[in-house]
Formats: sequence, structure tokens, C-alpha cells
Amino acid sequence: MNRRAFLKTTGAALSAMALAGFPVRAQGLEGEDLANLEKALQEALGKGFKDLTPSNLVKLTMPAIAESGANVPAEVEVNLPGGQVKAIHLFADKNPTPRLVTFMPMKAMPYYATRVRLAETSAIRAVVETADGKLLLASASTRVTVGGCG
Amino acid sequence: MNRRELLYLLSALAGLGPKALAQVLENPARLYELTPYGDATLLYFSDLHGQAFPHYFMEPPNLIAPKPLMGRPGYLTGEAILRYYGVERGTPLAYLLSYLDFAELARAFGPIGGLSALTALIRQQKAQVEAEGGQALVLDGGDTWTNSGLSLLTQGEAIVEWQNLTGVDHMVSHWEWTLGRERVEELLKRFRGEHLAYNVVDELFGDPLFPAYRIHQLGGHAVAVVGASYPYVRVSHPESFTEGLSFALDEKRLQEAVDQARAEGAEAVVLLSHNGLQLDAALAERVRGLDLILSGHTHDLTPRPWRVGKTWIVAGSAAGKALMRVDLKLWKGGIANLRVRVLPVLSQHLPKAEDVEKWLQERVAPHRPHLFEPLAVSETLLYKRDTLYSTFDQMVGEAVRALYPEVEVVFSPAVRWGTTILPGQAITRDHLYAYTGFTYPELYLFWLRGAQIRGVLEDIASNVFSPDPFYQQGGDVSRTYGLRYALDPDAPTGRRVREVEVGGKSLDPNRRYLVAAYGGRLQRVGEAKAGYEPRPIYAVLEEYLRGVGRVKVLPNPNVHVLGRTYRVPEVKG
Repeated sequence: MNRRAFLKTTGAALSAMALAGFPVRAQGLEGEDLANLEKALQEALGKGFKDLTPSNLVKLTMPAIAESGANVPAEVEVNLPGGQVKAIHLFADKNPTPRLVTFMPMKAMPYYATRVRLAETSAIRAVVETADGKLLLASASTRVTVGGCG
Repeated sequence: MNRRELLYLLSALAGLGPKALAQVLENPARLYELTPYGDATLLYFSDLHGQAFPHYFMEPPNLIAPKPLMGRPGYLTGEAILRYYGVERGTPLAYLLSYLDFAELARAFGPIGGLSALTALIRQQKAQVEAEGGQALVLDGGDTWTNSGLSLLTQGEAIVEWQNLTGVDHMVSHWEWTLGRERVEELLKRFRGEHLAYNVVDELFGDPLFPAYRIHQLGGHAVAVVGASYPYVRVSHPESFTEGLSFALDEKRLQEAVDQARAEGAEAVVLLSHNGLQLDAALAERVRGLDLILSGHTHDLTPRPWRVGKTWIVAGSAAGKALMRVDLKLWKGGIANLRVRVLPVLSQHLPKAEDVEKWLQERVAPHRPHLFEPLAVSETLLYKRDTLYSTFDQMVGEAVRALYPEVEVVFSPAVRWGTTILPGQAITRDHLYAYTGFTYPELYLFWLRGAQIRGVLEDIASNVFSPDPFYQQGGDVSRTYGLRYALDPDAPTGRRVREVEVGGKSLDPNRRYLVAAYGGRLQRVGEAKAGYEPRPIYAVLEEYLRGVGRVKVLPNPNVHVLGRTYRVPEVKG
């Protein structure tokens, strides 16, 4: 064993190999289907995808991989005072009927947790209607697999 | 550890050829005599998969990474992994780490693992630590109870007995659950250690089934061990095994467990995890307060700890190959430093724990003729582990085709567990269980349309080649036989699989194909073949092997990987 290899091995516990540059979350959303989503948005809100403003005031938490498409936990938090949020809507791009649920927080905290059904791997949208008529958007993506590789 | 000892150990493990090693092995105990270090010791192994007897296990020739993850631990094989860890070819550590020269090294160093050798090593290390006034915990990273003959024949019971004889302190779980929830709960009652899991909860109410962590006083410091069981149990196996449970990854809940342990006085927090190396590395970046992750599931071996952010990660190897000894230097804020040593379980050169050996012989006695009867001889190396292809899975394809010639495509699940059969070695039922010891072993025959086959291949490819570890799930790529395709790991989801051919002809999306598959859920998508009664894959293989007497599988990988060099090992040895 040469000196270099030796040092390298000895460095073992001491050296900390921090690998920089973690990959960012998957580029583009998996299971995106804007055409299907558009119809549902028009129907529910009378507005289209281009009218939605992506906002980090809205936090949508979805599992990256669903344990079962039939029962997927979804959580929306809106960082606005109660009373300023008129409605929280959830949509799944790939579902035959993309609109999943609508929640009116009234004066309560604008937080909503529920379970939704996903037909297949899909982009999920939380659309928040504010009291002043804005439509805020947060997106996530949940994978629904046939599974079977342990 | 003084300089002389250090030099000795390192050279013995990583620097000497078989000849020099022979001298070391005259007094093998020296290989395992470590000087004290730090304040506390963790003795860690993972993914034993019920392997009770010494056997061979070749590491994968290829671990194909999504481009952004290339070169990281977990995706290193062959020469690259030796270079990364500064290990020379032909040494014991090279035998454990790399597929290179496998048959030759297997003959020189003998088989690895086996319950009685592993226990002896654990006890010897523990005694060493305690003799010097220290304390050691024995941590088991899960995938311990299932997937072997002894496990199947005793429904996991024998392995729990072994854990108790060995003194396992904590475990987490994954394949254990394929014994069914009821059986798992029954066996856990007999387990004298403690199962930890922050993420095994009641599906409806979210109530945890197990404690998330336990705090131990070690060397004058409080060390918390937090348990993370495999988050995709429900997705990977028939749901009926785990009715009413959820295993989902939950960063918030994990963070709460870590914070709570610290609030209760833990100075250092260790995550005993079955998440797999890539997901653990991703979590290390996002969960605060984890000092060390002991990472199982992906069967990696990391002779040097991997540092991600403020967290060290040590993987636990598999198949009984190695015991990881992790010595911690502690301070008020956590782990100040650590020493990691791979202790190879070279079973021929280690003493056996006599009580365990006696217990094992008694336990296996009624099953001995069944387990060890030779069924056929393999003229070539049969291995399992690889991202895309293995000679064992090719043999499965050939066997299914031989018995059911009407089958056009065979799917074989890409589990990471298994064993390796050397050229000239007899194949026994114990080997077949080591490769296919599912609690749901049925081989199904069913019809799938071409478009469905393509969809399945894409689905699997996206699980394996997602650059984001949060979207990776499961094992390697399911093996296919009778089908060829080109794979572009870097293409976006939905476009990774190209030029699919069945029987030399381009896949017709509208035609129906007769498919055979086992160990998964694929059959649910198709339409069962009328008149066929599903039977265990190991019974199918047994019938085939008895019929042919000898097998000779020459590697013929059926996936053409774009943008990567695909390596095929030497199989004739």
C-alpha cells in the first residue's frame, strides 16, 4: 500500500467528505397535464392557469410517493391572517375530474389537511382565493406506482 | 490505537495480497483487535436477509446513477469503489467491496457471513470494548428476519432467536412485514431488544406503534437512537400484510422525534435507518440535529463515513458480510468525531460462537435434507445484484421459458438480496430461497398489452433514475427476459425507455403478450391466463434445475444503456 492510499484510508473517520451540490427537486413537475387542469379551473373559478400567481405564502405538503393512490394525505398552510382567505381549492392534473376539494376557512386559521384520491402520478395544485380576489398557487407532485420492486 | 496497530490493521484489510493475508490468517484474531477509541461504540449490521450459513455474495458490477448523483457513495462499483476508498485489488476489503476477481477471491478468502460467525464477532468486539471500561450497543438495520430457507421454514422465528442469543439492542424493519402484521407483532413480543420506528403509525389516526427513540447513557453521555423503518412497505408489497398501517416518510414527524430526544437530554442523536443511502443523504440535508445516520436498505458498504452537512452517514453492508464498528467521541453538543471500521465476517477465519452453532444445527436438523440437497451444478457464476441485469435472473427467464414455452416476457423482481453461486458449485434449495424466498412467491402468467409493458418499464425506470432521492423507491430495475430495450437514464420521465423489442420484433402497443412475473404486483394489471394455477417460483426453478442437471448462463444483458459504460463480470472463473 502506498503512502497516498494509506493516508486516504487513515483519513477515514477524520476526513469529512462533504459532497457539495445536492440536486434540486426534480426539474419540471411530474404528472403535469395543464390542458386537463385548465378545464377544471375554468369550471370551478372561471379563471385559467395563467391567472394563478405562484406564491410562497402557500405551502402545499404532499408525499413524493403515495402509499396508496386511493388515500393520499394533503396539507395546505397559508401564511395569511384568518379572514383574508376566502377559499382553498385542491386540484390533481391527471385525475379524470381534477378538482379534488374546496375548503372555506371563513374566519378560522387558513390551514387545511385532508386525504385525496389520485388516479395516477400527478401534479397537485393548491389554489388559494384571497379576500381581495387574488388566486395564489402552490404545486407539488405525487407519484402513484404499480410498485413491486422491493 | 497506536501507529503500529493502525498500520497493521489497514494493511491487513486493504493492502495485502492473498499470500500475505494467509500469514495474517494464521492468527486471524489480530485482524479484529482494535484499540479503544472515544466514549461509546456502536456495533452495526444491516440487511442480513436471514442468511444463516456462510455463503458468497458478489457486489454489483453496475450501479447506474442518475447524472446528478454520479460518483457518490451508493453508486460506486468495481475499480471506482476501490479507488474511492483507497483499497487495493485482491485484498479482503476488495473482496467485500467490488465484483472484480470475485470467483478467485472467493476461493482465496472463503465464504462470508453466517449466524455463528457474526455472533462471535459481535461478542468479541463487545467484550473488547467492555474490558476497556466502555459500552457498546448492538444495532440491527432491518431486513433481518426474512428471505432465506431457515426463515421461511420457521416463519422468521429462528432469526429472532438468533437476535436474542446475540443481544441485539435495537432494530428497524422492512421485509419483516411480509410475514404479515400479526406475525410481526407476535415475533416482536419474543424479541428481547426493542424495535424503534418514528414512522410506523396507525393509518387512520396516526398513532405510533413503536417508540420513535430510546436514550442510552454511554460513556457518560446521553445518546439517542431514533428508528426509521422503510417508508415504502405499503407500495412495495401486497397491502394485505400491513392492513391499517402507514409507513410513510414524514420529515416533520422525524424532526419532532429528534427535537424531543434532545429536549429530554440526548447529547447525540443517531438515526438507525432503513431508508436507503440516497434518501438518508437527502434527509441529512433537511433534518436538523442528526449526528449520525446508520443507513440500511441499499446494501452499501462505506469503509469511510460520508459527511453530508453536519451529519455522518455509515452504511451497514448486507448478507452478513461485515460488522461495522463505529466508535464515537462525544461531547455536549453531539458527536465530536468518530472512527469507522469494517470488520469482514470471513467465516472460515473467525471462531464460531459455539452455543449459536449448536442451536443452529439443532434448528436446521429437521430441514437439512430439504435445504441442502443438490439440485443441479452451475458451471458459471450466478449473481443477483446489479442495476439492470444478472445471470441469476437470466436463468430464471430460461427456466420459465423451458417450462412454459408460450410465455413471451418474464419479469423477475430486482430485489437486492440473494446470494452468489461460484462456477462449479451445486445449487441447493437453500440457494433458491436465498434468491427467491418471498412470503408471496407465486409465479403468475397473464396477458399485458404492449403499451402496458412499456408503461411498466417507464414506471420502474422513473423509480430508479429520478435524480431526486425523494422520488426513488424500491430496488434496482426489474429484470426482463425475452425483451430488449435501450435505456436513457438521463431522459425525462416517460422517455427513458426506447426501442423495446419482444422476440426480435418491435413491441406492438396494441398486441397482447403473455407475461410471467413473481414477487410483485404486476399481475394485477393484466388478465390472468386461463387454466394456469400460480405456483411458487422456487418450485418452478427446482423442476427446471432437476431436469437439466447442469446450468451454464453466459451473460447476455438485454438492456442497452445509453451514455454509460455497462460492465459484465467474468463468470467462468
